[in-house]
Amino acid sequence: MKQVVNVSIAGVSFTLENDAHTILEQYLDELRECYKDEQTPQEIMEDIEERIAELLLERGIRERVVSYREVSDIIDILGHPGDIKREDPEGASSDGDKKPVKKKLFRDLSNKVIGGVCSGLAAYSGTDPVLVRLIFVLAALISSIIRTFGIFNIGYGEVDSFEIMILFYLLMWIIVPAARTVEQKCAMYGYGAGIDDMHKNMKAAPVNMRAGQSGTNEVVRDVFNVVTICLGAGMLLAGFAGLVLGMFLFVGIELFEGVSLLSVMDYVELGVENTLLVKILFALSYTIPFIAMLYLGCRLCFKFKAPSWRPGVIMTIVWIASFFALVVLGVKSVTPYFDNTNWSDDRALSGNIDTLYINMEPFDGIEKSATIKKGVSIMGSKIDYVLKRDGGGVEFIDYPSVRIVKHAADENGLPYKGFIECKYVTYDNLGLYQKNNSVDLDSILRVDDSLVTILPNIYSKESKMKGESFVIWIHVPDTVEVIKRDEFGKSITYNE
Amino acid sequence: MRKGVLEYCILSLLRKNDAYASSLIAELKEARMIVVEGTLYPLLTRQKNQGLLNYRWVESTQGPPRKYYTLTEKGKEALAEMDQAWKEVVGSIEYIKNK
Repeated sequence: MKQVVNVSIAGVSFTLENDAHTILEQYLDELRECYKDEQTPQEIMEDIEERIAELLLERGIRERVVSYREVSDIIDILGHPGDIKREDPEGASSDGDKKPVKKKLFRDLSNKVIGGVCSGLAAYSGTDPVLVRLIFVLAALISSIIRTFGIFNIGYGEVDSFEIMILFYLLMWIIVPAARTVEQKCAMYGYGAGIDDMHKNMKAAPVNMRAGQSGTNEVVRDVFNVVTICLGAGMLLAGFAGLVLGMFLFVGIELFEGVSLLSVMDYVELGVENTLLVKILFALSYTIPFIAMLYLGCRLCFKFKAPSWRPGVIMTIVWIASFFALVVLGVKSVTPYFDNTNWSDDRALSGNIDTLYINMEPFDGIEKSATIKKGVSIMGSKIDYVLKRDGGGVEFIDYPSVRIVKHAADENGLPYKGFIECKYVTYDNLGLYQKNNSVDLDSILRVDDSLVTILPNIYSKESKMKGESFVIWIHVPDTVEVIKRDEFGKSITYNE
Repeated sequence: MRKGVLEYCILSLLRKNDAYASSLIAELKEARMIVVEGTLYPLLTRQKNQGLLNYRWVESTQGPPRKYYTLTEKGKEALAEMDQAWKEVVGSIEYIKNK
């Protein structure tokens, strides 16, 4: 008499002899141990149990008890872990047969920017190529960074890390072979290159074959890549520098004291009534090209591509429009349309004078002012001096032009009767300036017998340039001597 | 030497028609590729996990439903790749032997 055990194998119920059940249980445990490193060991065990059930059913065992003999036959058919390992050396738990392929350093051409050195190092070290490239660039720039921030004092005699890294890269490029064959490509990552490994790396293989075939094309492409990246880096630098410079120009930081006396906006604010429009137009037409440069630089260096083409097109259109508007505005405000608005006034000169003195009245703070090259036209007007007040305000000082005309006595011998005529003309054709049709002549000049004093025009934020330019004509008899003193008291004689 | 060859055999058997594990076992045994049946199951599972194979359950007249294996698109691609590799290996060996 023997004890029996009822078991369910793959959903089918069997009655096993006690010892048959023991060895089957033992066998399944062995297998479970054997497959424990597989991805889904449970699934394999289920398949095997199904096969066991199948084999038992094949033997017509349904109504009767399964014997020890039959179970051990089936175990022989399925095989012990040792037999299975011998037949399937690739199995996860089989460690005797599988030799891991030694990792080797290659240049990774399928993932390269210049020569595949960084991506090769990344493959070798099992990190991301982008990380290796970043470290590489940082290492190259380290001396510049240190020098810029002045953490340590680096003498000129010491070697620059930039040169070292470039040299290192070139050496690696020459010395390290490129991964061309499937075996090399796999060894780069430390894979074997068996038939089984091959389909794991199926994606990599075709790319590699292509890279391996082209010799001269590769060099041309490498050179092209280097040139592209240099160009991109240049554009990035130019764009960045341009934007920084633009910020200084707009904010008017006195960085350029001595180079340019004023920020661009000072000119605009003192000269033009409707400053906002000009400011916006100027900012747009200045900034957009540098932004475009930054984008192009990013595109060339990092192969970054904008997700949509619309912003680019819109910016181009905005730039063209604002640049055109600014040019039109500039040209129109500079172009002298003398007959746009006219005003004139005159004053008689005393008849009995031998000498006429013309003095330019000095202005407050003349000793601190800076001279702008005479005759330079800013926003359509001639400016003589720039004065920076202590409070921070900027003033432009301009003297009217003085023209002296000498007249001979008329046919009857009567002496010419002298007079002073003052005219103003505007250069403004856009309506940027408020028209000033009633100018008080006394605010421009004073006449005291033989002395004519010409007053400076002072422009500030509070009293803006109106786009006018005063011209004073002094008509005198040719018998009168004219002595002109400039604002510093230096005398100039006219022989007109 | 046999590395990957069993996998290649399994995919090749499935190339013509889909099959049960038992019929794959029978053919591989006949070809003397395997001796013990336990070898096949981890291989099938591995290939299934790699997406090379797929199976569907087919009811059987006697006993539980059985897995009926079939090649996936990826499996077909891998097989084509392996055919190529095999041809190259055989060619190389022939060349060396005849030298």
